[in-house]
Amino acid sequence: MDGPTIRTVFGNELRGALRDRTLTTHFIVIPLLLYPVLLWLGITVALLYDAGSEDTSYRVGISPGLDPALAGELRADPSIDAFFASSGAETGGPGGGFDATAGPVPGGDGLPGGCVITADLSTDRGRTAAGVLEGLARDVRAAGFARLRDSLGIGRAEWEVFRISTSNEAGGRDMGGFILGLLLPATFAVMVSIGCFYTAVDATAGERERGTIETLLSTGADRFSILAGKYLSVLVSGMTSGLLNTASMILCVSAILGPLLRSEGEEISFAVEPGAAFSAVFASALLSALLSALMIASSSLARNYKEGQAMVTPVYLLSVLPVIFMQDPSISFSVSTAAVPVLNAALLLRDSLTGPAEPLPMVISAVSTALFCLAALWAASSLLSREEAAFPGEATGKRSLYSLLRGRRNTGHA
Amino acid sequence: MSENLRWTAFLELLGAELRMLFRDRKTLLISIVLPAVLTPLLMFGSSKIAETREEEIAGDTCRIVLSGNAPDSVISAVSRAIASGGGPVSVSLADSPDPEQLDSGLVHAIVTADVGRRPVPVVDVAYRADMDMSRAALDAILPRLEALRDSTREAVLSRSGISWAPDSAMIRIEDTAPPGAREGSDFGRLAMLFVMLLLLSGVSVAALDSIAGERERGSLETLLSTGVDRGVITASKLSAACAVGLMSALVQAADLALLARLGFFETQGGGFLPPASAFSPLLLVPVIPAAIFAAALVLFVSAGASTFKEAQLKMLPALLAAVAPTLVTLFPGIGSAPVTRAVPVAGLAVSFREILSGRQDIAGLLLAALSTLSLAAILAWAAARSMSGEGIIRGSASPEPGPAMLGRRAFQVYGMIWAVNVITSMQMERLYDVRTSLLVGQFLILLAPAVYLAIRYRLPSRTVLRLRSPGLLAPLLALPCAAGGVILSSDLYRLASLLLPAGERVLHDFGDAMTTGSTDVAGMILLFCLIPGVVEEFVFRGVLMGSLAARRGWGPHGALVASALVFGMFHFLYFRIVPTAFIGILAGLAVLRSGSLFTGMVWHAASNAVALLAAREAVEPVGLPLWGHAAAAVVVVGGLLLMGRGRVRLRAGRGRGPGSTGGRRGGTASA
Amino acid sequence: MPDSAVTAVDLCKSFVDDSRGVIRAVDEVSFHVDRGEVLGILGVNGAGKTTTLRMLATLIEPTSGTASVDGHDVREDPKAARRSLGFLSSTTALYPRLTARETLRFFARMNGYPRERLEERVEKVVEMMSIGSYADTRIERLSTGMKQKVSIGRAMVHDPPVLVFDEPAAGLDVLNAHEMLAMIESLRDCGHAVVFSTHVMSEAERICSRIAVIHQGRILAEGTVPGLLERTRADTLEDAFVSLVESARV
Repeated sequence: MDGPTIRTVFGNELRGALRDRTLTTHFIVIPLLLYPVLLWLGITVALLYDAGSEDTSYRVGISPGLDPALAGELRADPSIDAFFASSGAETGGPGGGFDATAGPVPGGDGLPGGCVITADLSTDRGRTAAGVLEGLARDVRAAGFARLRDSLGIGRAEWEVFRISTSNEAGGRDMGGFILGLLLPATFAVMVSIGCFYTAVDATAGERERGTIETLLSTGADRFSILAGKYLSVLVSGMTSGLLNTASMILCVSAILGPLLRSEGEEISFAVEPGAAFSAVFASALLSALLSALMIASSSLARNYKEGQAMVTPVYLLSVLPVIFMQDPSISFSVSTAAVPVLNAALLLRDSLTGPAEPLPMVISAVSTALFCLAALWAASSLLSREEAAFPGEATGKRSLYSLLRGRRNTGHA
Repeated sequence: MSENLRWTAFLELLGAELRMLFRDRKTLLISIVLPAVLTPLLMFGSSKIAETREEEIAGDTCRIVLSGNAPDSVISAVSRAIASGGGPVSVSLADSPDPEQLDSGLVHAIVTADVGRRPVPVVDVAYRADMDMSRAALDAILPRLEALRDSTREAVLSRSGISWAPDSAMIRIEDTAPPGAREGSDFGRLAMLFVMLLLLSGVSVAALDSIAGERERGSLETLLSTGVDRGVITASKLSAACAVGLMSALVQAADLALLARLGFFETQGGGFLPPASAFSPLLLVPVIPAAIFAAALVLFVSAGASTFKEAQLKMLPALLAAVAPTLVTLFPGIGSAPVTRAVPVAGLAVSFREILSGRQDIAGLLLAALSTLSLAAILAWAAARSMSGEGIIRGSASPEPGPAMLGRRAFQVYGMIWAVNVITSMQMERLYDVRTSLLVGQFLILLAPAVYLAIRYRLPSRTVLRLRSPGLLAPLLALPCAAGGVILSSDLYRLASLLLPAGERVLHDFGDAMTTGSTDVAGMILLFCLIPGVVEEFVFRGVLMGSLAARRGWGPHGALVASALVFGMFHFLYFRIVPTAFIGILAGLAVLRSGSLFTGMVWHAASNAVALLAAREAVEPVGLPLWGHAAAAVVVVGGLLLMGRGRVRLRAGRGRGPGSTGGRRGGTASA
Repeated sequence: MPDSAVTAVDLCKSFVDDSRGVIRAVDEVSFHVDRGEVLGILGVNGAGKTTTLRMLATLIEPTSGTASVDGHDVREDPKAARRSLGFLSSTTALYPRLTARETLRFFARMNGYPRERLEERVEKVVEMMSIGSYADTRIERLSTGMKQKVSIGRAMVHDPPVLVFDEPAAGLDVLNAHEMLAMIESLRDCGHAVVFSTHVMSEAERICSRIAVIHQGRILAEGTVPGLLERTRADTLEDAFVSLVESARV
């Protein structure tokens, strides 16, 4: 290990990555562009949906015997074309059929608003029409009972019994953190992973494909330092990608969800506190440290970019795993979970959105990640120093991956 | 080449493609076998965890605190109702419960029954929406309170001799659909999305590398140097990709279906799959055009890239674009409209869902297949064409900064500006007033990057940005033309709204935002007309159109249309895109005809002013008689023609006169 | 000089191929090169030239035997051995996204060239190789000939006493190949020890002080060009080479 070599390789790798349009696009442009595009699409579709449903009307058949109050209400509603029908059998079908029919409920005589709604619930129109009818029937029933109550002389208090209200005691910041905690950790892991993915493959398999690996290995630098420099550059790009994506996502989520939820009467804050920002940086460092090491190790055997990608894919899939555990809110960032790689970073990120993280689990997670990284880098370094790895299928003959992994460092000493 | 030879060549190539693919076992293993193993595992783990969590919540005791000044009878009734509903619930009474306990999770809900000034007591349930035990407590309490109320009402009514039943018994919904149809229709909402994703990922394994990779390795040149024509090459690559895509999608789908049948993963609702009756062989009919489309799309992307890496990069937007139409089934209003059948991919998604819900609309299915296949054919044709183009082997780009280089990057750069614009404008609307956010948007977000681009790429100010004097005639002509343009664009808007209707409410909000604000006329004109006119013309007609025109194979008119579309996109709301893009085209034409960006600025500012005036006075161009619209068209076309004439004279004048300024003056004066 | 710049003693390299079994690519190869001398390693494709040179460059480890570069043993101290040599082959490519000057700087640093003299040295190499006109252009935009010059500059930027060239003229046109050989000659005249492999007789004839003919992993003969001609009683080096290889086959 020597510092200057690591620094030089690191600088060179980063410069190369920044000059490659493919790489910069993957870890800078896409995060900045993707979320606003999704946001725009979401808003556009929502507006179109609104506009589309504004002037839709449903054909509703009214069967004989339906509560006249409800029938009158149906005929008065602008979104319903009401017709008298003999039975409820004619629903569905694109032709002259009804979207839904409303008929009397057996045994509901004399009571307001009761009805049986028939509709083909496998069609969108049928389902929406049934929903509209149900809402109207409820209203009619409530109004009818109010009249009944008055005519019977029952007091309002006696009838209402009590009013039910609910109040959410979670503050705007708690709710903001909660919502972000549902959305962020999974995508965060994927984004860190993508950020590492392309740089890792480019720095190992891509280098071999371009033929620069031999040039690099023929210099006086030792292999572990070369690897360490590459590793650091992959780590930095993974972190950059993870943090940029997270920031962009928070901005877009707050832009779309903030106003949406405010109109529902909830003030939700998506502000990120400095403590949480620190934890997020720490989490992205943890995750990209681990994924970079695993990806470099798994792609260092590949002969070209495409093969490198295929080999790194399992690691990429591994980063999706925490999504499963995120479903269970009772699993939190604690002493025991902090030792589990990948999961610890996702949990730390989620928990830091709602409150400060404990120092002990953070230390544990750092130690456990460091151990995993060292193991992976050791494997990568020993793979890289294998001649079969440096010149696959060339001077040293073609061997299968299995025999390569099994084989000793040098056949002569075997 | 004879038909027979073509056919032989096709089969030979197809065989070679497939053989090469199957020899790349590592790729096949990782991109097809691995997901087939991992996806069920992920789903299994996920459903297992959800299940245990639900069991945990069900098994855990709900700790509820009850308090309030309501009469003891109410309190004890509420307490009994909550405690009696089954499940582990503990209710304790407290005089003044501590909300802190709720925050710390010691208590899951605090129920307060208070009597205020009104005669009816209020039962309030305080909970925390961000804690799931607390949400579970709320879910348990609410129905119990409602049941208590229902039973009290029933008692009250029965005293008057009237029987009573709750809403749930009196309003019933009966489904007339055959059994399984509803589950099929629910499943069908996202089914095509998954099919498309499976197809695209399978096809990518085979096809993403097939043109770009061959180009990279140099074998494309070898292939093209043989006697086989490009159509045959494309067809064989397409067939290979299609076969692999279909195969891998079927493998994955069968894998999932089998494991689901075996009960490998099951959710509470009895599994996410509809009954077997929903699946019919007819389902393959929309899948095959979808596979062909996916293969054509991936080949198209591959043909447009010079390396595998680049192809991958371009695949992401293509993937989003291909998958987005399948979401049409999520929106009842749009999904059931007959027009959607004619939209490629979207039509297939609708048909697929129809078949899953037991309906067979053959005509719709055929229409959907036809429209999707036509798009696939266009994509395949474009892929074949790009193979034969000059840039086939490798387009070497000029490394010098200039309009051509910016032209190649323009969409990416303007995409970024657009994204920043979207985010900041939404945030700013909340923080600042209209005036500030408009100024920040115009100067910081639009003008500043455009000026930077103009300097960074050394755009020539006269030839590319067209910053030169327009003379007198063109700006003068632009004034009436702009008014005519506004009328025409409103006609166009009404035409476009047949396809993309705008909701009344949104229009109202939008109109309010336009007209409210300051009443200061000079300020309004500066803010809404002059500044946007100058800034946006520089940004879109100057920098964007100028650099796009320098892009290879684009020319001024391609650049005009493309820059106008981008200009439309910057107006964010979908129903404004078409009319603003039209205004953009008109202003761009004015710039091209008169040779000066300033004409466009005048046009744009005047156009905004006319629109603003109409909105303030509530004048609708719809109200104009037919001859009004015709006159508008005549004015616009005539004005644009005259602008060009002025420029021709101007050139002639410049040739004659010794000084260019003198010549230009002479030219315009004589016009 | 008492010590040779490069000595190889009984170098062997064997490897296992899944289908072909154990293969001895290099079999007891010994040679030495002094400063100011060019040793040409002459052999057909697959003779073991590249493997031998890669062992010198410590890219692969000998199965048995050893070699030293500028007094550093390739087994004991591979890092020092690498620092003392510049290795160039047709497969040692350059980073396409770096400029020529950045490339030189990068490799000088990688070989531990002192930081304070780095810029001076880079400029000197730029001047020596006369690549100044495109020193700030990215490698990916250079022509093959330009790239080759930068590659040579890259190999000697840390001023190594030993240079190892593995078929450096492969794939170059006549003019570029000519320039390449001239460059090697001038390096030799500056006192560098050069090991140079080729299968082109005229190249070997022109610049090599001594020639080692290698075939199927073994050195068949070693000596000056006239010495080899005398030994095989041939008129040209090509005839000498063919007769050596033929006699080995019998």
